[in-house]
Amino acid sequence: MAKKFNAEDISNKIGIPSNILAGSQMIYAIGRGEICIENYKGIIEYNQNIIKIQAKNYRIIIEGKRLNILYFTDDEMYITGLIETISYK
Amino acid sequence: MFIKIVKWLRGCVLLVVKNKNPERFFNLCRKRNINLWNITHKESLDSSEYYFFMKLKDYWEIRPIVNKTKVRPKIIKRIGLPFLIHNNRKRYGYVCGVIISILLIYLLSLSIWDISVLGGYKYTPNIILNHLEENNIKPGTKIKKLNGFEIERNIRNTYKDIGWVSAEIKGTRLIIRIKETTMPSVAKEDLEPSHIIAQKDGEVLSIITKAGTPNVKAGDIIKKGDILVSGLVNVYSDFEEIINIKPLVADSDIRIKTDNKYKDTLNIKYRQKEYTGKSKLGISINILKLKINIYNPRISYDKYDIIVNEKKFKITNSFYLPITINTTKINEYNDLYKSYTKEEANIILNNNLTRFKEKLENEDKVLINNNIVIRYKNNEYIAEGTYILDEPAWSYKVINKNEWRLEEVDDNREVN
Repeated sequence: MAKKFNAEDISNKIGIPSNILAGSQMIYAIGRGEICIENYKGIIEYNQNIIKIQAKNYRIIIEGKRLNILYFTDDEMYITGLIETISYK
Repeated sequence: MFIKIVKWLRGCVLLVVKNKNPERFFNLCRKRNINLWNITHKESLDSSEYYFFMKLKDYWEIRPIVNKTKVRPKIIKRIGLPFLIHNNRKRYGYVCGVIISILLIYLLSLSIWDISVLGGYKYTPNIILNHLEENNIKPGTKIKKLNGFEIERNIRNTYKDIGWVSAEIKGTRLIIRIKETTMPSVAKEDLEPSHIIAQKDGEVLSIITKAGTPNVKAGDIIKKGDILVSGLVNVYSDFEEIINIKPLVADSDIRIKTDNKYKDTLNIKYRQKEYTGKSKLGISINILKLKINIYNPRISYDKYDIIVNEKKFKITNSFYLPITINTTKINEYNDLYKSYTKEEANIILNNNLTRFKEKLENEDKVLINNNIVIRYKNNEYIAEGTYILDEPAWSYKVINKNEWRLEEVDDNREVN
């Protein structure tokens, strides 16, 4: 059986940060009130209590209160509000 | 800040979407490079609202997305310059007013409207202002035509005892700062060959000659006009014969003890103004050279003082406008004739004497002794007496060409 091509493994082996070659998601959380997400695909669900974001192979779920999207561009999204959990699915 | 200004200039709109699922709308906007910001969600029992901002330019491009997603965005707030222009498109007067005021402010900023002179003691601001006006520098002169360096040079050349001048153009103000010096003027250096002669009768206290031939020594009694240091210097040969006479500018530090007389009189009667408390106010506005009287009261008083307060209009501390408001206050008074008592006269005359002494000190004169007494005579208090000064009472006297040329001829005759 042919081995599945995994960009993350390759980038780990050759020592390049995986977000460059494999397009992995970057999540910066600043305190409890701000989150910046890079390299995402789209928004699946948004309301003031939950934001579901589609990434390359999985979903990122941010739960909290009074969640706002300060801005979102083609590859970057900035979320503010009171963040309670960040989970992957 | 810069981004905010650009956004305001281009214009943006605040939209609301009343829909359960606007995520598809957001994703499609993202795919088409339509930027949304400040997305907020507000939920109540019966409705769910999403608010977001969008550029005005992008608003015209969301129609296909709206059709596809069946989302109905509604504008609730318009922000920015395009809307401001649109809203005021029929207010011609308002727009004209704004344009004219901007133009006026621009035109006014091209000229100076206020000239301040700071730091003068002997030269009052009025003297300097009059001098500048003679050189065509007055309120209303174009800033472009002014040259700070030229102004400084002009003032320095005209008033020799102003040691330091700075002319600064700040907004619509011209600020001139001057510093006066008590140093002897430089002009004396350009003198022709001259003697030093006595200005007053007296006794030589000390004489230190730097150039020239001294004719007197310390302790000599001299009279006014005597040559103290001659500007003619004999040139001797090896055999101590005069072979030439050289004229030069005599230079010497000489202190002379002189006798001087002092007299100061004070009339026993004097007039004092007694204000009656009645006053009138007048207001006028000066715009450029035009004077508009808003209220000009008729003066019915016999004797009165007029006090004018001038207030200049300014936008900032350095942006003065050619508009001044003058408030005139006219105060009525009656003359009251009084007499000085002996004590009052003593105080006034002594104060005058103290001022006189200070003036002497400033002029490099030392008061050695004085016997000035105050007495009363013919309705007058008189402070009278003599005082002895240690002063440099000398001046230059240009050497007459005959003085030394004749001597030269005599020398030649002797040789012949």
